Amino acid sequence: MGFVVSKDLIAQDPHLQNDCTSCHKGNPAGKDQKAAHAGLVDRPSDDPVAACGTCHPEIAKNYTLSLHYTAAGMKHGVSGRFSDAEKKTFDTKVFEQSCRSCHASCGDCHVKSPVVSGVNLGLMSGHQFVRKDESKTCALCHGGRVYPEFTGEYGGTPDVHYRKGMTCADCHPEAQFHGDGAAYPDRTAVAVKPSCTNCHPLEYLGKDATKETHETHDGRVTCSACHTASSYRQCSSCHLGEGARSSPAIVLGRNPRKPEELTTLRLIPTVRDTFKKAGIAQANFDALPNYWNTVPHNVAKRTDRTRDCNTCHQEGLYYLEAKTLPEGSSKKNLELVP
Amino acid sequence: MKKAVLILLVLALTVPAFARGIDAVVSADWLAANLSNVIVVDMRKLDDYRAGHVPGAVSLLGLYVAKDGLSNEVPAADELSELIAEAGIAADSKVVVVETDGARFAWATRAAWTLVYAGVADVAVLDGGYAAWTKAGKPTSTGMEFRDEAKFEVKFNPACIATKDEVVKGLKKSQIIDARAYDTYFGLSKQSFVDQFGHLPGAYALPAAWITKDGMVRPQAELEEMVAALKLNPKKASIVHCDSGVLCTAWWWILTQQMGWTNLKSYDGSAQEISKEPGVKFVKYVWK
Repeated sequence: MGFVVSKDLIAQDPHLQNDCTSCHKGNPAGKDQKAAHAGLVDRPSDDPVAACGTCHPEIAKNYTLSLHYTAAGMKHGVSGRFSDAEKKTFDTKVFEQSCRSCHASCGDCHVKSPVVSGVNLGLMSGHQFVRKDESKTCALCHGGRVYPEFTGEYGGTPDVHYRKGMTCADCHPEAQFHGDGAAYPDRTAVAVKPSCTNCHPLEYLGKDATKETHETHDGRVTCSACHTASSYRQCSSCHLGEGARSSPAIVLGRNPRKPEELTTLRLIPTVRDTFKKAGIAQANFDALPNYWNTVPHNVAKRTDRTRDCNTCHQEGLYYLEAKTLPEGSSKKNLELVP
Repeated sequence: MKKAVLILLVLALTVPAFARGIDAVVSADWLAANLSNVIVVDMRKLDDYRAGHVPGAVSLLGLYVAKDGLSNEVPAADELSELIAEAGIAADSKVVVVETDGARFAWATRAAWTLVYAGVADVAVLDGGYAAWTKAGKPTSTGMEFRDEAKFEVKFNPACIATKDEVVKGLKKSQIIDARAYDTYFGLSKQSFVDQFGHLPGAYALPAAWITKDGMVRPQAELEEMVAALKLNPKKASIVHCDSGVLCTAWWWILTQQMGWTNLKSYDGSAQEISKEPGVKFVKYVWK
């Protein structure tokens, strides 16, 4: 086992030209571990501006406003279910003490894999600063759903983009990782994000046989509704007292954010007593659905829907149905049934 | 005349064991010496492939997919055609499949079996996988590599694959080979996705794990001894299965592509599917 910091590593990595204390503080004059570690900062980049901002001021400042750092999506995604009083309780008791702990520091992506549910891969390459290593960073925080769907490890078809050698940063621009200087409430509000049509513009899309099909569905059916290759994870029961459960399925329904559009939906595991322990009854639980529009990351050119129109138009094979909605789920779900 | 047609039909529906131009299992030395004459396909995770692979190898993912409630199924014909064509493979190509190491031998054979089933006759598996390649000090490349797209349309060979109906019908007539571990066969343990403990009545236990030793495929003579000890009949209509259609391809590969069996089908639905069939009852705590 090698040292996490070696002479070779110091020679290779300009970040290591400064001494350890420039980031980790502590007391270099200390004669034993206890004395040397006095005032040690374990995760310096929890404060991006102070740690990384000295050399990367703009990125560090933007990052403090990014969703990876603020975790604001977790707050705004659920706040619509709360009364004003509940919102205050949630912000102080739940968000700051629980959800917010998931924020990523600079080092979580560039030095050491993030800790997820106590699982940690440790340093990515000794203490070397790594520009990107998606399988050890993105894959951990987004490993419950997106990443294993993308690689096919969830048991489905690997995404066509993955098969062709593309990984996260090939579609998601840097501004999505570091932020663009604006504070967004959630990922749907972000200004710059991937779109299939960035690389596959509709006017050039499809062979002659499929041109008309693409034009007919444009604006009414999302790309993912037809091009999601296989079942993706639907989460349920989280915080219900029995642990989270998940099951694979393709679910097509109305986009809660754009009801005129049919899209892929994912069941999100907020149930009526999710925040019971924090004293939050979710007074407006039925104001938001349990299903949200999602882009499963297992895209394929051909699926049973692209092969046969009847999959949707006759059989309605994957449509959300009122009779299959989870028991006790939000009444708002009914509005998503096509 | 009828007899001649029947003979031709039988020949057409047998596994192309002797049509191959390369060995079914090749060594790192052989591959290094023949690198310019073969197409190497790498089945490992993309990150592992990009970090290092056999020079010229292309990544080929998606040869087995979850479908219809089953874990490992063959992709649809049009999709599989495209996957194979995009890897630069034509029906007459010589292909070498590379997996991580010997522990993944059955995943390599699952990919190789799919290629043969799709109509590529000359397919080999790299013995010991990429681990053996690097251990032998062979050169490696990093990043992505691509080949020019080939012209390829799958022509599925039904002699390679057994359907559920065939297994149900063959329970009394066919020679059933169970490639799972002894504990599973005997009924002490089972996968969560399999509904019954034990094995199909009369099935022979021939664990896929026996094929390799220290990560390398055992000598053919040793494998032949195992098969002979079980008194398996190479000429009898046979079906090999496991839990989800991966391990069984390891013995399918050895028996058909190396030992020359011509009447063995691999059942990719395997115990995951057949254990849910109402009329099929597994037996446990017996060795037959």
